[in-house]
Amino acid sequence: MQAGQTQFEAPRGVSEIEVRHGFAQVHFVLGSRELTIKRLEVLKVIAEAGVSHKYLQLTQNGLALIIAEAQVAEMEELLNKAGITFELNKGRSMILVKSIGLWEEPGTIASIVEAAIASGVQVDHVGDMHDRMYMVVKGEVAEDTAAKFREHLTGRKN
Amino acid sequence: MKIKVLKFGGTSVATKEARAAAAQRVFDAREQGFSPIAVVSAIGRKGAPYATDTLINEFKEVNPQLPAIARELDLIMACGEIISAAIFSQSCRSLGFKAAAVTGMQAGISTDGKFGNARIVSVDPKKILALLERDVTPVICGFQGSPVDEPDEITTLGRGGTDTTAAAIGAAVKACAVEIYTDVDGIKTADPDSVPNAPTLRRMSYDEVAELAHLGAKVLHPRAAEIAMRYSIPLWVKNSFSGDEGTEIVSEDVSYSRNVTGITHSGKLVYLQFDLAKLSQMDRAKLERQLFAMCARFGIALHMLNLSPEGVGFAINREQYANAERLLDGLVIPIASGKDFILQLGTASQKVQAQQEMLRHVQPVVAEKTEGCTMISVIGRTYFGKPGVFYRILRILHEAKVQVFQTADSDFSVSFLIPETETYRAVRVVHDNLVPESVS
Repeated sequence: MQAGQTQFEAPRGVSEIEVRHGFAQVHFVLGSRELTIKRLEVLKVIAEAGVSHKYLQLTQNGLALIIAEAQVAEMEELLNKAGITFELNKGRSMILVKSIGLWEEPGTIASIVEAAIASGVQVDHVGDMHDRMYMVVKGEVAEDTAAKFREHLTGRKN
Repeated sequence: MKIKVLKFGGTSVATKEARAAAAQRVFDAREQGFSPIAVVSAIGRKGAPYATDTLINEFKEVNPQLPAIARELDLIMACGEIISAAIFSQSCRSLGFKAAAVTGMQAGISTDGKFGNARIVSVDPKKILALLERDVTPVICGFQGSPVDEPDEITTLGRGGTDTTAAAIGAAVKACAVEIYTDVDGIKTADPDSVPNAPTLRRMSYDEVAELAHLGAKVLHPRAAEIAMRYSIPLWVKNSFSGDEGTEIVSEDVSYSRNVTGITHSGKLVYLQFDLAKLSQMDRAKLERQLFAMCARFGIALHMLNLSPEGVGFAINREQYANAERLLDGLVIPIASGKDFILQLGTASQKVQAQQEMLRHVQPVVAEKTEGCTMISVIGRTYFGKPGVFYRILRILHEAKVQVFQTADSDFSVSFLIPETETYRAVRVVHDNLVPESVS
């Protein structure tokens, strides 16, 4: 049991590191003029085509989101047809670092990101919620990276 | 013995009349055949003579320059609940039944010893059960316990700690219900300050309520929901001042009947967006590593982190921002021999200017600083993952002319960073568009 954890209350700190495979990152560079409207236009095209996505992030000149690999062909066709330019990073996996009350834990998110950068892995997409942090990396390095995180953040080898 | 825990918040014990009404609820529970346990918060809210914030202010005003010692702060904060429990037990006795005020330590609550934000390690309910056997209603001081290693000390459980006490006591005595009494009719789909006619949710799952609580709903503390979930204790949130049936929180998933459970708002945040587009990949990695290492080492809690080819962005709680600014603004990050970067948060401060004057070769890395931000969140177990959800909410906010700086999402919720001045309007407009169609 890590310092600060109790048996009575739900454990704090990083409780689980999970790898999910089969994702792609779609990155849209839309320029700086009327950025909000352009973002909405892109999202409307995707919504009307019935393609679901997760982990949307607003970048300084566009947006980025994550889709299931199975949706890549549909998304490519859809965006090409609509004349929307985009970058697609296929073959991505998601490392989920689960930690209840993550936003209240001082320095935890920063230490996870630092660990990721120190490992030399290229992180394409990162985000957080109150109970988890996720990083999208190339599929082939995901398991090794997760194992390093597991050891670094929980002290467990597997 | 059918045990029921009734927790009364600050407003529920704020006046003689309120305490009499709360004591009557305990009396009624006895009449219904329950063995009730009361758990109480400090009397009243900020400004009331024995409210927790008042006691903290009294302590700090002695010498604002002198750092507060966490142990001493815990001692004074714990007084609020001790006063409340003693007065409330007298209110109970005045209705003709036996009651005894019990501190957290006497109630057998052991903590991990972290002053100011302790976690409960165990609860030994021996004394509580002995009181119940003698037909004496225990009135337990919420928000406190004693460290396992130093049982003569007092630690407090952090904000919302009385809810946590109630759930923990409920788990320890295997209560058939824990009822949290507050000043609203249960858990609503939005803060009534934003949406006065927000409906009350009648049944919710622990997961839903924990998600709402984590994202800012103030009627129940998330730690209490988590303990209740872990020990499968039936939980209710009810209004002290009305006969409303309240909200029942249960283990099974009851969210299937609605897309959206509720809209919350939380946090006073400052958003920083570092422009790193012109840096080489290697320089950027070195800079980012040192930036995050500093935040980790000095305990800066980051929210809504975003990495993109253009830069890195994150939000910091306003309470922590002054520390973060002292740490990061003007920080010189060595990259290679003769190549250093200097971080600049917003417009160049005197510190940054002085550093640049002294170290002429340093290259500034500027973060756009957006002060006065807050986060609104939409919670719904079945909603997210469906096509068009983000588009729909962003369009609602755009049409309401609410600027969105960043978004974040989880399996059951999506959050938007917006200007704090727009909080109530944004919650209202999103609620009006999404909730009426989904609450059943």
